[in-house]
Amino acid sequence: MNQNIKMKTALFYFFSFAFMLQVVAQEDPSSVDDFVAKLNQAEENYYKIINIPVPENLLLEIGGVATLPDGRVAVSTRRGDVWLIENSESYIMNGKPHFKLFASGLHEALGCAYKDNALYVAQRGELTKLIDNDGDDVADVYQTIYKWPLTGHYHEYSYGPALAPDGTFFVTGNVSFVDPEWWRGVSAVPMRGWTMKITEDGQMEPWATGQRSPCGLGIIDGELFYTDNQGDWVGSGGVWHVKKGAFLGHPAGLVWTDKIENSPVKLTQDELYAVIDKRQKKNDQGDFIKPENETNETVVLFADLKEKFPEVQSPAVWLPHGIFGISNSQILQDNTGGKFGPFAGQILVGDQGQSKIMRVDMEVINGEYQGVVFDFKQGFQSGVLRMDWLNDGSLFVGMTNRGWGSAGNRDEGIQRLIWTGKMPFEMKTVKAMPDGFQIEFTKPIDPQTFLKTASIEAQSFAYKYHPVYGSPPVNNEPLKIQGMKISEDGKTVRLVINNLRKNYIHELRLNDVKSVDGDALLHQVGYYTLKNIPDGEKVAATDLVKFRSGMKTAAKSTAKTETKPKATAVASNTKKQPEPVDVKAVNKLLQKYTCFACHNADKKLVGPPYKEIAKRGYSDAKIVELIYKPNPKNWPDYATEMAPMPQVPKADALKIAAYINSLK
Amino acid sequence: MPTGGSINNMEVSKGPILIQGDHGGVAFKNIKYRLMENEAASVSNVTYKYYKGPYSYEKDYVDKKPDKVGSSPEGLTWEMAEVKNFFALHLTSELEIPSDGKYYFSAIHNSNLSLYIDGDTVIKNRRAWDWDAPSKGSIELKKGKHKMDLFYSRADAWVQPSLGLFIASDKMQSTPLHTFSSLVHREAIYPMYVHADDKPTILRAFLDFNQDLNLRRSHTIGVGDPSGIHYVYDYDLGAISCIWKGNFVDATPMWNSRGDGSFRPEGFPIYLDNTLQMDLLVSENQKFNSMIAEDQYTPKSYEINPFTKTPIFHYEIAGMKVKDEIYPDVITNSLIREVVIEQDTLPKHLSFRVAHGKSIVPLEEGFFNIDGKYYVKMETTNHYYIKESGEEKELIATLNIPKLRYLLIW
Repeated sequence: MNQNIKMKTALFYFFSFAFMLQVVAQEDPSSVDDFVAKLNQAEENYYKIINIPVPENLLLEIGGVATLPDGRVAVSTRRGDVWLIENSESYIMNGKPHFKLFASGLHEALGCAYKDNALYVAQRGELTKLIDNDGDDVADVYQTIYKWPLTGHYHEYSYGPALAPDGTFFVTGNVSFVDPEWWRGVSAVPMRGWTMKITEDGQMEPWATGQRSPCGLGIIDGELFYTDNQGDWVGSGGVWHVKKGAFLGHPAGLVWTDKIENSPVKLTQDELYAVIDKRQKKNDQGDFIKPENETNETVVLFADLKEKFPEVQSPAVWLPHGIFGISNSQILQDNTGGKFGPFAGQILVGDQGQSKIMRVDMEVINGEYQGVVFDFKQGFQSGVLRMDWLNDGSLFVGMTNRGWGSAGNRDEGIQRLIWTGKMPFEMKTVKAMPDGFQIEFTKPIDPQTFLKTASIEAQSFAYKYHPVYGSPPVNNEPLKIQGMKISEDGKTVRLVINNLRKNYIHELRLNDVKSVDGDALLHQVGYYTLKNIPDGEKVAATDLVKFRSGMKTAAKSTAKTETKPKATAVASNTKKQPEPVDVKAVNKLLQKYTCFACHNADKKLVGPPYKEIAKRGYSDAKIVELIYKPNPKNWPDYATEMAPMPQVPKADALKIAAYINSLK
Repeated sequence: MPTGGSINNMEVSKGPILIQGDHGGVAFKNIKYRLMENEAASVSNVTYKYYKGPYSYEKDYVDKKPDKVGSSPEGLTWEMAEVKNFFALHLTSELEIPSDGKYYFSAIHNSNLSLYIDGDTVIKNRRAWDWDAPSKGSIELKKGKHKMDLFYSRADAWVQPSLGLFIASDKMQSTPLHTFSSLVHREAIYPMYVHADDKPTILRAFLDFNQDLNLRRSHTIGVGDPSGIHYVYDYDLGAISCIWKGNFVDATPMWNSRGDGSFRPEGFPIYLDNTLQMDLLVSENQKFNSMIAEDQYTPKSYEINPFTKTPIFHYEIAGMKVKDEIYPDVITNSLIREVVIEQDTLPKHLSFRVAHGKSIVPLEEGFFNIDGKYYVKMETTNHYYIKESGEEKELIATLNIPKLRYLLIW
């Protein structure tokens, strides 16, 4: 591989688009849309998005999806309707799906489930059973299974139900926000920030707390899992195992643990805040100060608190923010038995903001779930919120982006994802080993491609546990790969690493690996959350193959060591004569630092278009300052807060700022 | 369409008010009028002092040397500012007042604003966002020229400067004193109305009781009817929150962007109850809502009446099962309510507060006017009486039989 291509590779490794270098062409992308389009094209060879023809003017802002035993799909919407959709897979035969309004008038129904000839929906304020007595496919009775209190704040969304194996229902509730500390999630009434386990006859058992915005529920191996999004106290999105009595991270719900009778969580807010500062401080004028990322503080990981508080349950799999979504949604296990392709038993996770679906595989080590996340399929028309399996083994995807924005430029809708029958060349899974990781591929690899220099870039990092909105990746460290062992069938590779770190996220990026039939990897990176290092047999030194020209591993990705922004130096730089902006180079930076996850030059995505930012008339230095310390109040129409990005080096931040201001 | 033509050719521009029309039932109340004159106020000779910011308050910059001074021949605007983010302006102008009287000023602006006329404070140091209610102030002024001082200072980089100043009087419509481009015009939000023209329509949403956010109800259910007779049921209380006629609801507050989860009745709602309507009244002096607590109430379901398609509510209160059916009666143009306790033996002193208000005037047997806003017609064999509790009158029905029926007429 020549040096030039290597350089490009190094620049491009971030985001899932990186594979483009090998598959499509060694071309510079002209824009992020170009990346998405090309990656989409490649992904579509294996998994294809199919539109479902929806009648004109039928607004399907999907809040819930449930396949019925007869193959119809029930969808609940944010406007409070429930539709039954028949023949949603019929387009192939030129058939038309049929839409029947089953129920209406619900209060923002953000989930639905089918059980025993009835549909169950979580409305904002209750779990409701919709009963059709006379079989005309119209609900006759709206029965309140269990009602919970609300203050009436907009953010008090409720999600579910997830149907537990014992026939009970799991429902979760968002925290809300109140002035003056509008940034601090609170549980103003019981069960906000909690998981409730509710029986058919309306008995509610408080199950777990520490949730902030628990939009995605899923039952995996009979256990409840959920996804949360980056926010205050939540460094990044992730997949959590919701055990009974668990404390999952956000302190809001702890306010009830000593106030409600049957709390399975005993930890109180006071006990937690005695260990970690909630940073509730006022300035000289008596106004509360919004906590911001401190670059020079001692890093505390949420998982570190488990020693002191056994109820602490850190994510089984972190979904690094900006890379694997920005607003993670539903979790769904592939139970199609292979109809959906080679990933049976694995888990799909939707994302609203990035309009895509990620793939997660978990294993149990020392009694705790942990595992790896890969990119899977992007390019959906709107924000992916809900999914369920159709009887033909295809995936029904329900979408909405209202109020948050998404990469897919439609506001709502439904689509299907089908496996084309072709085998993608992917990392099928990554498993933890006593001395490193084992990567399993969907096809045998070409060992020569693995032995080349710079085939692997690997590092580990973590997220802070602090009252700030989101966390930059911290404590980054390159992984020291000692060597590897390739299995005889060429489908698994053991990597031996001597600096594994418990409770850290381990990023494995395979740049140039090809299959024996010459395919490049469709997605080149996996992030493994190593909660526990398993015992077992290590690779014998004699079996270990060294890389041909020495391994280079570097912490070169976005997840870079935190650098302290130096505002004064930045300001003086701006006095210089402005250099012409190299748009291509800046596009690469925007890629690298995941800016494109939320921003586009002209289009409103999750964040404002760069052209709009340019209109604000900030100096370059001010933009750099805002990259390091965003002020969400600056953009009241975009209420998804931007996370501080102190990991962007000053020089790069200035280039980005100059580019933004060039768009005036 | 308006009824065309005047009633005779003696009509002149000023005279008695006559309302004519043949459009069915209408009601007028609290009619107020203002006699408008063809008067106008204006500003001229606008000069400015410009200070580079950021500045939060007037006191932070008035004593400093301005970075720039000059005149603004365009009129009252911030647009001479060299930067758009952090600055302060002191705009001085001559205000021409057409006649003696009281003048009302309102400013739509962001950041910080103060207004003085002839040195008297009209608006003092008001910090606002564009979407906040306007800053307001009023002052008595004589006909002629007055010195007006406007201070506008910005410490917020992120919103476009926006400054609009309006003047009105009892004789003069609200008119802008600023230049058109000085005020940023916000993007329109396209309304999302829910109609009930074809069939009874149910929609759940938060309801701001008495249009007061602090009294927001969280488990409320709007029920609209093609007859134009609508109500909101409080499913947390088994009470009717409000009743109105006209169009059903505006769901824009709930369905625009993230929304706030609430809707607005379209029309002029009469707000009725935000507490339980059932209680045990053991003695004369006992306050209503003192025996049965809200946590003794549990909503159970609503079923759709297969014939009328209107909901029938079911709840449990203090161990009793209750059925609550409310439906419009197009003949009397009213709402009928039937509350049935679904058990044979009833607790003693079980009472239902049908209405309450400052005044309850009996008009004929079982017919009451409540606060001059609406009427209640009891169609029941229950005993009922008016209970006086201080300022408040309460129309109480004693539930000695398990059924109560009454009409709400407005």
